[in-house]
This record gives sequence, C-alpha cells and structure tokens, in this order.
Amino acid sequence: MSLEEALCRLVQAWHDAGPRVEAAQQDLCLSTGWPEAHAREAIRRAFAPFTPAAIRRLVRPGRGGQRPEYLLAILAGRVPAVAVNALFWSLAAGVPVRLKSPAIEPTFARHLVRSLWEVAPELQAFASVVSRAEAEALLPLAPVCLAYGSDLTMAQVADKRKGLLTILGGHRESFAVIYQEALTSRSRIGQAARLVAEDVAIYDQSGCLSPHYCLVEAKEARPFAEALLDALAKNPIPFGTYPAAQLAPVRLRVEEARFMGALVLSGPAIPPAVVLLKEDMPALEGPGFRVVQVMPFVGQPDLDALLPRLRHKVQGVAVGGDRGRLSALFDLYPAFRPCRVCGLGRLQRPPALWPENGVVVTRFLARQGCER
Amino acid sequence: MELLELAKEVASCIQAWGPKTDEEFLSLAQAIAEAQGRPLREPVPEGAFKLMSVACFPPSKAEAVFLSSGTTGATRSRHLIHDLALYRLSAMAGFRHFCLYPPMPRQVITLIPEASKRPQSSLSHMVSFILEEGWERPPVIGREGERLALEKVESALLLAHSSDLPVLLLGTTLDFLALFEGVPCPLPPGSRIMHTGGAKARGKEVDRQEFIAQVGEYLGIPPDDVVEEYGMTELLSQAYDAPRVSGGKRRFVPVPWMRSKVLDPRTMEEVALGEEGLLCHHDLANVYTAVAILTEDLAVRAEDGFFSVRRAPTASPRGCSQEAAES
Repeated sequence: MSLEEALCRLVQAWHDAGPRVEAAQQDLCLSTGWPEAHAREAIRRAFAPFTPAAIRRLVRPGRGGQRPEYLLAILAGRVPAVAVNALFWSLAAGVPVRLKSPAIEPTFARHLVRSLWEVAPELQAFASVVSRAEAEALLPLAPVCLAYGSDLTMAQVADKRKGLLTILGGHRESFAVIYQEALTSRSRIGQAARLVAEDVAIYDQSGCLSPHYCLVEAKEARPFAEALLDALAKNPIPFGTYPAAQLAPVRLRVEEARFMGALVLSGPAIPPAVVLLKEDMPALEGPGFRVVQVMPFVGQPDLDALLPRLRHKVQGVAVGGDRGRLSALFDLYPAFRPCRVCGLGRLQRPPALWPENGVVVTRFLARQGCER
Repeated sequence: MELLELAKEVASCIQAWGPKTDEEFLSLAQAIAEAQGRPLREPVPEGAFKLMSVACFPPSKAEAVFLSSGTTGATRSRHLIHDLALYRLSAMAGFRHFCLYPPMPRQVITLIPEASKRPQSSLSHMVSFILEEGWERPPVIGREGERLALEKVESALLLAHSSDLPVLLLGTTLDFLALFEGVPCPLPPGSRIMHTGGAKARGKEVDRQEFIAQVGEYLGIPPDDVVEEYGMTELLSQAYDAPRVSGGKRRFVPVPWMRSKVLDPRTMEEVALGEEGLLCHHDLANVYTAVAILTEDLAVRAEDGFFSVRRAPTASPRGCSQEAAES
C-alpha cells in the first residue's frame, strides 16, 4: 500500500466511526470535559483538511536525499488536530514520528497511532507514542523536534536542542478585524457575529486560532457585541463540563474588565460573555472559552495600542470586509502579521498545508532530506 | 450612613464577637457596600487591587499601605489602610479566639519579621500586634533582616523545652519547612504553631498532611495544635483552621465579621457542600475599601467555612501551547 493510500484509508477509518473512533471520542470527552457532540466535531475537524487531493499534494515524491531518522513531536493542548497534523505532516515527508501526548489530553494520540497500525500494519514502525520520560530522553537526541507549549517550555526545549533542528510552536493568539462594509445592516451584523462565534466556540480554549479579540470598525460597537453574545449563546457546539479551576480565570478576568469600566454582556452564567471595551482600552489578558473582547475603532485600528501583548504572537486573523484594507493594516503594523489570514468563521478550518507558527512542517522536513 | 459611623459599628461588632445573626451581618454588609458605591453582589476582583487604588478615601490619607508579596516582576496588590486600629482590633480578636485557647502559651517565637522591618506587610503588622500582647516571657524574633535566624530560634526552642512552659511559634509555612531542616526540638505540652501562606506558596508544593506530620516530628506538637491562618493583603480579617477551637474536620472558619462563600465561577452562586469554587469574602472590617472581594483562591465549601485552598490558575487552557511543563 502506498503512503498516500494509507493516509487516505486512515482518514476514511475516522470518518466511518468504528469502535476505535467511538473509544477515542469517549476518552476525549472524559479528558477534556467536552460533551460528545463537541468531541465528535473536534475529531471531524482534525481530519477534514486531509482530503484525497490534499494528501496527494502533501505526499509528493521526494527529491532524493536522506530524510531525518524521525520527528519527535511534543504535543500540547486538547485539540486532536494537533496530533493529526503532526502525524500527517511527518509521514507525508517520509519521516517517522514519535508523538508525546499532552498531559491535559493524554488519550487521543494513542488512539490515532493505533488506528494507523490497524489500517496500515506496514507503517507500524513509522508512528509511535512515547511517554514523558522517553520524550525527555529523546529531546537532546531527536534529529528533528516539533514542540508546542508555553513560552517557558519553548525556551527550555530550545536550550536542550542547541544546534539541532527544532520547530517551536509557542503561545500565539488570534483576532478578527471587521470593517464597516461587513456591518452595513442588521442581518450582516448578525452574520458576522455568527461566524466569529463559530471560531470561538469550538474547542473552548484560549489562544491559537480562537479569535478572542474582535476589532470592529464602528463608533458604536454595541449592536455587534449584542449580536455576538446572542450568537455565542445559540452556537450549536455544546459547552462542556469544565472544573472550577479552568473557569476561575474566566470569571476573574471578566470581573476585572467590569471593574475597570468595560461593559460586560452576558446571561446569568458565563461563558458566554462579550466584553465591550471602552475606546482605546487595551485588550485584557484573554480569558478564553466563550468570552470575546470587542474593541471599536475608526479608520484602521491601532494594533500597538489595542493588542500590545500580541506583537509577534499572532497565529491567525479573520477579516470581515475589504481584505485590501487588512493588508494595509499589516503594512502599518508588521509585528502583527499573522500565520493565517482568512474570512470570518474560517480560522478554525485551516488547510492541510497551512504555515502553523510560520512553518509548513512537511516542506520543512522534506527540505532537510534535499539539503543533506 | 457615613463610613466613619459604619466603622464604629463594625468595631462594636468585633468587640462583641459578632454580628450574631446572618440578618445582622447582611444588613451591615449592605450598608457598607452602599456607602462604598458598589453592590454587594458585585465583589471587587482581587486583581483590581493590582490595577488601581481601591479606596473610599483620598490615598494621601492612608495610615499604611499593604503590598502583597508577589513574585519578581509581577504586579503587587496594594491595599490602602485608612484605619490601622481597626485592622488591629480585627486581627487580634481573631487571633486571640483561635490561637490563645488553654493552656495559654507563655511566650511567642516568631519567624516572621515585625512591622518595623516590613512596613508594607499586613502579616508583619499582625505579628507586631501579637508581640505587643504582654507575654509572660519576652518574645523572640527569629529573623535577622530578611534571613531566618535559625540559631537564635533553635536556642529559644531549647530554652522553652527546658522551661516546660508552652510557647507559640508563628511563621509562614515555608519558614517552618526551613526550620525543619535543622535538629528536632520537642516543645513543652500546650505549645502550638500558627502558620500561614501554605496554600499560596508558589514554586514549592506544600502538602498539608505532610506538613502537620513534620511539625509533630520536629517540635512534638500534636496535629490539633497546628493552627493555620488564612489571610490576604486585601482583607483586614482572617479565617483559621484551629481544630481545638472549631472541632470537627479540618477547615478554615472565618471570624464572625467576615463571611466566606465558595462560588461557582460560571454562575457566581454558592456551590454545594464539598464542591470547589472561587472564594469570595465579605469582610466588614474592609469598611474603607471593598467589603466584598472575589479572590483568586479556589477552595472547597464546608458548612461554616472552607478547606483545600489553592491558587486559581492564572489563565485558561491554551490552544496548542498549553503548558507542556505540566506534562
């Protein structure tokens, strides 16, 4: 079986929802607190970019040269797409992968690797899951390492891998810019709000491709903020059962914003909540989950003033309205240029070859072979 | 009603170990909240004390400024104190009730510096109040500058051991752990310790059961005489885990002029008994700043207090960059 065929079969196996998929879904629910429908959607989205055509583009015949012996992928967060991407990107480049599961969600990577073994036993040596201790031992040895984590963790990884090929995925955040041409009527405001809510609700996380800041070109942003609260409340992706420890920072940041004079729109329970900041008030540390900070602006937003924490840390930007104006915005503020630009509601649907953290991993790995 | 009048009423309550009923407490809390211009149901988040001055009086009129300890580079909480006497009254009434049960300790040994050495520490002010209590034997301050004076403390402990008179040791949980690295010195019966900050110790995991066992091994003090104090820079009143006074399962019980609620962070409603949530205190002694404070502490609700206190994580789970160090 060719590699391309094996990867296509793997995607099909996860679409077909057999016992392996059901078990993975249940484990994911237990470890993340997501309801079943949320876990199912998260898994669906993880494999969605890997269509047969996308896999064909990924698995291009090598141009010779010896590929790295293996990739050590240190995963983080609870989103299954992170494990799926690492596996597909690595295998497509012809590089075996060793996955280290995140502590917060230790189950999915194991199911993923076993499912690969089931559909393509000949690839057994190409994918495995390593324990924390094994990963620590491999860290200074692995020919290539793809690591996700906090900035502190990234610094530690970089320190242990001086002179070795390493792709670091530190903390990045995303935001939406909605120009006035996307807000010309009540229905367009509602539509923009629904699309932003879609990207916010999935995964109930903070950062990465979840747009927790909305820059809105309007003197009066309240109609958009109200529409967004409504859209978040009605979003079909069910909110999970999260422990108090995870929701505590959400409540604390919301109450701090309220105390500082921001308008907090919410129902009796948060999340969801929309925090409408006063004009020129910089974004507060994002509490994540379904809490969005809305910032009004006129003309072009002053990114240095509104999002100072996001300098050189932008993963994605979703735009409503004129994309040309967005390009001009990044010419003004190059430190905020994102890895991914897309329309509203598309942030959490990145394609198979997107430059996460600025790197297309498959191409990076393939290039190593050519350069040897 | 004016804040000054309310402060007098609070002082009377404290002197009478009250308020005696929930209605009395609520009525006074609401009057204070109204005078402060903020509804009782909207507690001031702890973080607000880092972001701005929280006070109902001109900051220039502050008798003291308490700062939280804070880690390097972190913004520290700032609590402006309008009436140090009210803090003294509140802190000492709670201390006497929960720590000075019979047999009365005859001497105090503190591992915490007094207020003259750390004027911006609310805990050091409390220690100074305690040192001024009029002890039978002269108090010992086991601190030289910022350093623990371990030899001095060990000498004091040996003297206490030979005198056979019960002593009270005060210290932060981390101070005690440093002390326990030395030679064990059993103290006379009736001795006790009051430690604080264990729940909030950063960078070092402190297991309560293990700590209590270490107190027994090093000082010969039984578990029931290990008293833990819960306080924070932003509060002028405290809660105590004092088994000999409160009885029953170990838990923090606040003084009657402070009510502590454990809230569901989603709804801000009280959680059921045994469930974890965010700690919110209504402290009547905070008459000049914020009577209701939403802390960054998580705790489990008990019938008349709370237990298993820990700091809430500062941020929600992140996308691909969830702290890999946790793994």
